[in-house]
Amino acid sequence: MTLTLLPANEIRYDVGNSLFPTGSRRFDLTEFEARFGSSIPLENNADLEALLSRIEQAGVHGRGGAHFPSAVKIRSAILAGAGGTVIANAAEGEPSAAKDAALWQTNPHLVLRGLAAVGALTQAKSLGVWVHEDSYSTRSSMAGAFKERAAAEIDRLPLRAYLAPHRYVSGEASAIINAVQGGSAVPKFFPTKSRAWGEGNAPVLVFNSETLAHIGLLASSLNWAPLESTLVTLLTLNGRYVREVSSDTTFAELLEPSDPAEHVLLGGYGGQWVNWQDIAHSRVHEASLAGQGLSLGAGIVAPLPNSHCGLIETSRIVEWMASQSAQQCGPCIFGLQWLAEDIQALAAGGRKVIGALDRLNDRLPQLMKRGACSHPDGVVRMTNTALEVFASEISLHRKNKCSASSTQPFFPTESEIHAV
Amino acid sequence: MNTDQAVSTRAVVSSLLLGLVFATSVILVALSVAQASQADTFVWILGRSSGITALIMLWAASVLGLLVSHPNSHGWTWMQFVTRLRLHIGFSVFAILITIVHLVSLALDQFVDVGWAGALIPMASNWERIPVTFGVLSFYGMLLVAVTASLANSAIFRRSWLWLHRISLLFFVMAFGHGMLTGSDTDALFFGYVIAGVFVFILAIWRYRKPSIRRKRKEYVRDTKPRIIEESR
Repeated sequence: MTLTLLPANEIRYDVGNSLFPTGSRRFDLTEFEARFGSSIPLENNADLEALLSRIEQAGVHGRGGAHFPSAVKIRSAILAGAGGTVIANAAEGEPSAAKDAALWQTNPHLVLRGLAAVGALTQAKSLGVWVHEDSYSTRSSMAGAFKERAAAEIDRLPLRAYLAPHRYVSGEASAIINAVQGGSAVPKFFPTKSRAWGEGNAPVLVFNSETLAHIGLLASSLNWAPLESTLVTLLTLNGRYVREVSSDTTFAELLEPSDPAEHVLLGGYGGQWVNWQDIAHSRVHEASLAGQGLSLGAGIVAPLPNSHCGLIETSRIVEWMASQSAQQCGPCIFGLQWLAEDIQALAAGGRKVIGALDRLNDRLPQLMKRGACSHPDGVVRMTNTALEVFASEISLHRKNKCSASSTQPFFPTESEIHAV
Repeated sequence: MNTDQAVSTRAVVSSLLLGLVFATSVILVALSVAQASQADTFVWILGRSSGITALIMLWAASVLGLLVSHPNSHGWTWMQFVTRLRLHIGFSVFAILITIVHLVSLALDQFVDVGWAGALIPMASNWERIPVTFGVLSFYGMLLVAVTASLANSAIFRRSWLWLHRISLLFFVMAFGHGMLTGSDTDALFFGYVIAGVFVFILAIWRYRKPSIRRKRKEYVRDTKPRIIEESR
């Protein structure tokens, strides 16, 4: 396997797999079509039905964290009626995530092919890409791809770029639906829990970029076998490293042995802390992880370097997550601030640790499933697992000790993936 | 079951029981004072003492209420949120029970001309008409605030209870005015009234001076409007 380090950019790509064919630069339309072929015909109902059943058979599912089966989502959208907007979500709110950016910066045409295919399947009236306005590398790659598609007159539907403010929750599906329907990128509670489509006359369907890339593969004329692979962002001390991982890879194979870790944060800032022993021989595969009660979330794997303290890092993450609240629901506005302060007390150590633990045990269950979006739920889940996994570290902190040797922060709290 | 509901139901029931015990003891104390003074003053003493007690309870409920929802309160470790809330509910229920004792005793009392009408209907008292009306109105206000708050989880009051709860500070001011203007002990308690009033005033300013969540929320909504770039097809 070859690794390429991009100049002025922290993301490293895994070259040689199907989703990242070129490595450090963008695949233009000619190169893309040479490798993936043209789009399969999507003219009549038989074509569409064939594609939909291929999506179903391949088991394509959402890659934003909820892992909802895409075929079910598309079918429910078809039932909801024509005339909607399909959105490719290219906004990664989490500073440690980079897989969608990697995809957009190297192979945007694959995602756009998937987007166009879902547009055709659902008889949408327009397509859109939701991207952070300060993700300049992603945007420039995207704009190049848009131009090439326009010149080749590929798209029959209008294509828009929605430039979103860089906030953690502005990439949440209901926030995107809200914004595309003319509002702001604020999560909204839909009583029917129909996460696929917004309500009203202009339905909006949101897909993760990686999901669309998989659909794009299925919609390509060169015969690609259905991929059982996942894009994983590995967070290391040297930066983020995006890899396409086949479903039989284990975590031990994924992580470099030169970087030993006892604890791993799976799924990012709203994910779970796990002991390395528990997952070392598990496969990097959502369905098999689900059996262990674990999830890859949005595909982030962050082995905590042994030089760093899990409690201090957790405290920094929770503080940052609290600052990202949409200022909408009580559990998020107040609850996350409470959590942040109590975990800060754990990280600071000393005699305040006991009181903080009591308060955490009291408050953590009260914050679950209360908000319009699941932003607080993720933080609560991450905190709960941190309390379990770092139990021995907590007792150390109580005695004013700490196992860490480094005071440098490990987890990024500002996104720097848009450098070029 | 919802945790909030569990807290408030338990707090209401236990404070009702405690409040009954407390009200009975106020009545017993008034009875013994009246017997000691060897005159038929039991009802009058009961009316005065229950009035002052109710005011102190209401003051405590208001102070706790301002502390429950204070924007800084998430950082406080000296008293848990749940404790503040339970105390707030407890004092409020006490205040209403003792006010009922106060109201009934002054309706029965012959010493001043208030009567049942004056005690229950605004502007119906022959004695100190306007100050008594303040008291009557603040009693109804307290009842309204308490009933809507205890039904805050119901569909009917989900939106309105908090709004009513905010104007409860007005009912506190009315009850305070009622106490100062009608109470026959005002001269003796004057400084107590002033200190207690100024305390709540300062606390209310401290509570409401903070930027509201509504404003932060408006800013967030304003800042998260997407820009849309139309691409040619």
